[in-house]
Amino acid sequence: MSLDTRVKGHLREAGARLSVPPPDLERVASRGRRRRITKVLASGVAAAVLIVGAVVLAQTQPSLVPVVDQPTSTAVIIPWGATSPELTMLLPDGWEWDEADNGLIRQASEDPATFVMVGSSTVANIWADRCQWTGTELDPPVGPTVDDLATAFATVWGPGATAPVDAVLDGFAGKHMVLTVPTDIDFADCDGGEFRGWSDNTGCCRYYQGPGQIEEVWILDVDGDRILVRTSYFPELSAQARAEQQQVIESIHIQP
Amino acid sequence: VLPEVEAERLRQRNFADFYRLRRAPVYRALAMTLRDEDLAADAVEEAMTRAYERWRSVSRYANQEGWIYRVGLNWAISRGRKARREIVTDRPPEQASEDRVPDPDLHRVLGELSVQARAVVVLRHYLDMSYDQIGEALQIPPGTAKSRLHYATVELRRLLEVAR
Repeated sequence: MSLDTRVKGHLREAGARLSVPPPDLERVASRGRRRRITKVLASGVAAAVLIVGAVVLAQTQPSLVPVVDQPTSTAVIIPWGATSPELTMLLPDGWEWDEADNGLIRQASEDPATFVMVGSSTVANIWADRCQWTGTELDPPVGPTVDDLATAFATVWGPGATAPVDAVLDGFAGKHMVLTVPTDIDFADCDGGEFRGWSDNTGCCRYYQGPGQIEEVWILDVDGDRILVRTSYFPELSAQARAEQQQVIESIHIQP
Repeated sequence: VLPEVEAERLRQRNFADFYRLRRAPVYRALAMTLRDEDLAADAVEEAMTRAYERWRSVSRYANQEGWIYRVGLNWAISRGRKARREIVTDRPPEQASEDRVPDPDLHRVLGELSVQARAVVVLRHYLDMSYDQIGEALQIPPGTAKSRLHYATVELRRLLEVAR
């Protein structure tokens, strides 16, 4: 018997032996309705605050920033591999909050001119070789501070990372860096077909979507916990999408 | 009846059908991936609640079952980690089901895989998903799904050899 057949047979039998808890559709529907109402109310309040702010701003000074539609919804994400802090952000029209990603929002598109992700993660360790990554995680692992990680990115990845500069995001201090994927690389040549960046506390990892991808990161100390806020895009990103991306980043509120 | 009211009624009936048909397989898949039946039960209800909340969008997804699985898995990983920090249990969660496994050796080595590797194995061999569907479910390229399954199979074979 092949191993695949053995695994399939085992899982089918084990699954059949599991007793399924009784369904409760009414409870699911009731919770879902309550959350939908709460979200609508929250979006309304956020939009109202933003509109009032925009009106006040318009009355006091001329706008120099690109015109971006008013945000239409809010998203709350938690860094991959953590249970806090909560990062609340306002999403422009056309952006999606993909709850399934549990810490990632994106403008879903395969077009490099509009493909944008904004997310957050923990970082447990980094791979020295992001392509032939097997067995190249730093040993000992990267240390726990903002400087430990920023230094590791800068020294280990060489031209793949800019020098860290001091930065503040929603009042939390840290370092800002730009990480890049080489343009002349074929992911098919990498281990498992993946070009990787770092491992997080979920046991898995950050892997990239294509050559030339750019990732801006803010490595922050949030009340003693290090988190990484990131936004990914390609060099072809349109000015409009870039403006929306900036708006999302600037709207981030971090609740420890 | 107003068209929008009728549409909402149809959506609710559609969700109810989905819930009745797909909740049990996803629960079982999560229970075998997480190896924690209680956590899987909470995870599938949380994922179903989120699906209900945004059923207008989710109902249009090609792989709704995969979406539910991913939401449940991600939620459980975060929740499980928090719980491990806060609660000290006197026995491992999977011990309760040890006496119900058909192939104890395989059950044990499956437990040595990472959750991510086990997820691919369960989606492929229990929910019978194609590599494209696994990719949709876990939001990874199909090629990555294939290579993860390959590595997981190699690791299972190695662990079974060691156990002999």
